[in-house]
Amino acid sequence: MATTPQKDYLLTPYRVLDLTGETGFMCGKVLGDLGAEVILVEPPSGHPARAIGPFYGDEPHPEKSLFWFAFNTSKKGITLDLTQPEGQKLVRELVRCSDIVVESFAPGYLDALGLGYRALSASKPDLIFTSITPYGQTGPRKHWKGTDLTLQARCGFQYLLGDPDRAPVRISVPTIAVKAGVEAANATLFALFHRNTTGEGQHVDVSIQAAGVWQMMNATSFPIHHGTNQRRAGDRYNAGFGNARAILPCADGYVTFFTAGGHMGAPTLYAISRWMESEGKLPEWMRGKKWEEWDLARLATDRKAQQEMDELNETIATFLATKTKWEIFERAFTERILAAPVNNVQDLVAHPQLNARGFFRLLAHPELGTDILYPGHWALMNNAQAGPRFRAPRIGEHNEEVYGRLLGYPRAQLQEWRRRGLV
Amino acid sequence: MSRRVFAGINVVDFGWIGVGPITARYFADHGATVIRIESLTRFDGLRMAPPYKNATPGLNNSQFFANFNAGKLSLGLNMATPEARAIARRLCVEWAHIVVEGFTPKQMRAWGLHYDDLAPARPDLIMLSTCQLGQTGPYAMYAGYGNMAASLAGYYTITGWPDRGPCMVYGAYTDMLTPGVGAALLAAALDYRRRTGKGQWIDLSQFETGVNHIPTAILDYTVNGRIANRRGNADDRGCPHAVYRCRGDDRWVAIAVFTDEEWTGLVRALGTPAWTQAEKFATQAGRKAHEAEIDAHIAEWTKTQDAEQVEAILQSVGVAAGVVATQSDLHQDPQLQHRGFFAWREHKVMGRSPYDGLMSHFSKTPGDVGPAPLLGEHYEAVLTGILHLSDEAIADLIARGVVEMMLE
Repeated sequence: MATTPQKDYLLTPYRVLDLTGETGFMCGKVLGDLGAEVILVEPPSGHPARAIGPFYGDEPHPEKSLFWFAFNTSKKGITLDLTQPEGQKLVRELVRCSDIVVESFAPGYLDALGLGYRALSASKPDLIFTSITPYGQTGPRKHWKGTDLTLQARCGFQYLLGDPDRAPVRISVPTIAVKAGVEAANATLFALFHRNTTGEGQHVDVSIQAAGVWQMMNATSFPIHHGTNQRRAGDRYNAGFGNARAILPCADGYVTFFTAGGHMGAPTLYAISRWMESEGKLPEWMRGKKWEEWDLARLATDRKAQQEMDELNETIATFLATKTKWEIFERAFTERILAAPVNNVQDLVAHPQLNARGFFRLLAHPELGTDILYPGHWALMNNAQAGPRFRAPRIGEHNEEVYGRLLGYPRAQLQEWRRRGLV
Repeated sequence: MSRRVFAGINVVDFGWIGVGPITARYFADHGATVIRIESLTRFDGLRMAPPYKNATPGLNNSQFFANFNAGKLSLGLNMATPEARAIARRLCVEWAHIVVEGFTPKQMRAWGLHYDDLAPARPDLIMLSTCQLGQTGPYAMYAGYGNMAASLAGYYTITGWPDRGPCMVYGAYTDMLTPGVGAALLAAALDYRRRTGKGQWIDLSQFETGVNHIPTAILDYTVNGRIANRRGNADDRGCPHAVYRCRGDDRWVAIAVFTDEEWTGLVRALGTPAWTQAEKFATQAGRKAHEAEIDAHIAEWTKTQDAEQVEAILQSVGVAAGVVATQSDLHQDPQLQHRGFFAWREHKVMGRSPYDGLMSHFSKTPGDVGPAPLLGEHYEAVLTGILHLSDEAIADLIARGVVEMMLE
């Protein structure tokens, strides 16, 4: 495990007030991992997202949610009751000394508390205010509810996933709000760049549905241009490059193998042919084949070409069934074959490439008496670094630091607020 | 005051296929001048990948390419020639603020365009290098597409049904995740340079980006030793939490209930049938314990209705529901329409075509999507306008195949 090298983080001068819930955490995490000071605000009784599992040691407990840990690294945490007028006043004070507010309430909720973009920007025109909601701040469905499942459905991605003889599926680990959170982060940074050029702040309005559409690799225009809809195909690759079985069983699991035609797939088919030949397993019909001439467009429409593709597919499957994931990966690596193991999380944590790059980071959890291994840096850079800096905050962990040192309130005031349930 | 965030920012885009070009497109959408460097002799595979306008293959007819390269200028260069490499180097050293590239690690070095080659002349250059497994490490030279990196990052293991083998995630999934990260890093690096004068070489691994999008599953393993597997549409907390068949050909609706309040809404939408009143369904834990029974009842209810009808009824009572939208549905989606998501633009060969639009709305600097370039279309704008080459020199470069184009 590489220790954190002493390089700058990119966003150290900036402060972010994070008012998000479970669908918005990722944005602040990215900004915090890039070095911004992110202050996450949760209700005095603890954030409801602390009830989301899995849990440390499988013990449901607000300080043991791995969901909370995963998406709130590099953030400080304070408690505050936003529904009390005094809480609202404190938010306004915090906003005054922040560059960015990120929130994921239903559209209009913060406006009703006097904490929406319009109200806050009136006294601080250079504020960047980023909202992350299922369908965006405007439009006929702005008030619709959305979860990972229903938004993966509504953005069109889910229709493309799963076995054809069953219902469409989502990726079993929620991803749509994760992607939307990353998009919110880059949009926020674009707005920050503009502010630093012009002094002008603005409202950034992220639609999780729209971010979801950007998972579809341009399937969106098939009905316009081809008059067809792309459909789910189980373990087959069907994104317009012919229709080939793309997940093949191997000796110790599965691998993905990209049987494409044309210039894209030919080098792989020559390389696998050489491998098969070296073991005396190359069938006669594959010998001397000009794989470049397998035109992709023809494969998509020509039934005879598709039959040949299927036969090729099964021949390769039979060959690879005797190899392990690592044999196939090593061969793919040295011979430039478009193949890769179907890894699981255990494979990832042990992966020599990730570990050689020091991808995972060990963060201290002194309250649990342990360190936990986290993913991971966002990139390697020559003059900076980006990755989780410290673990997610405990409930109210930074109240004294933020209300005391940042806003200048005496400790007695904090105690009084605590008695009144404000913090 | 400029309405475009990156007006005056120059980007040279050596990306190809997905990640590099999409990353650079974010900047084109927000006003940067982006020059896509491409080639006719070794054209970007996406130029010959569907969907094509009128389903007709052609180098200037692919929406796949167009979508990822909207709003850019295109310069065609035969990089096998030293003159082409010299032109590319001049653009990087004399003109660019940002260079994006997406080759396996040795390619830019072979052209003399590696960060190490450019940084001595331009220490403030920001360069993003993105490949499957990163620029360093024992497997840095692994070559593949996003459908390989998605497999490496664990996505196929967690897609599909527990009683069956893994499923593909449509397309090249890490190509859809990595550009958002690249755009964030580049914007942060631009800001850092403005404050410190320092450039940046950003080594962005598509494999690592994939892993960074499933941190909960990683922690469940590093803490609890649990290996995430595929589970259809099930969720630890939600119930019902599934996709149900509706009336019509391959029509489905997703329904997700997490709270008692939402359950009450669902029951009301169902017309409060007797089965819903059973004691065992009174709590979320009880419902979770009898999930299969609930799913069967709901499937019975949905199968005679339109998916849109179910969605509308449930949303009206505060229950999250979503039609499993086809691509055709997306073009009729009133919410996406209201937000102007699909940007129909006039392309010189393809005519009016829909580009995937902006995910985020900016109140002061809205951004815009431009049409994609023809292959090599902007050689004059670049060679004359930026590099100030003479007409004779340009004609000579074209005649000798250094500068390439396909303008029909």
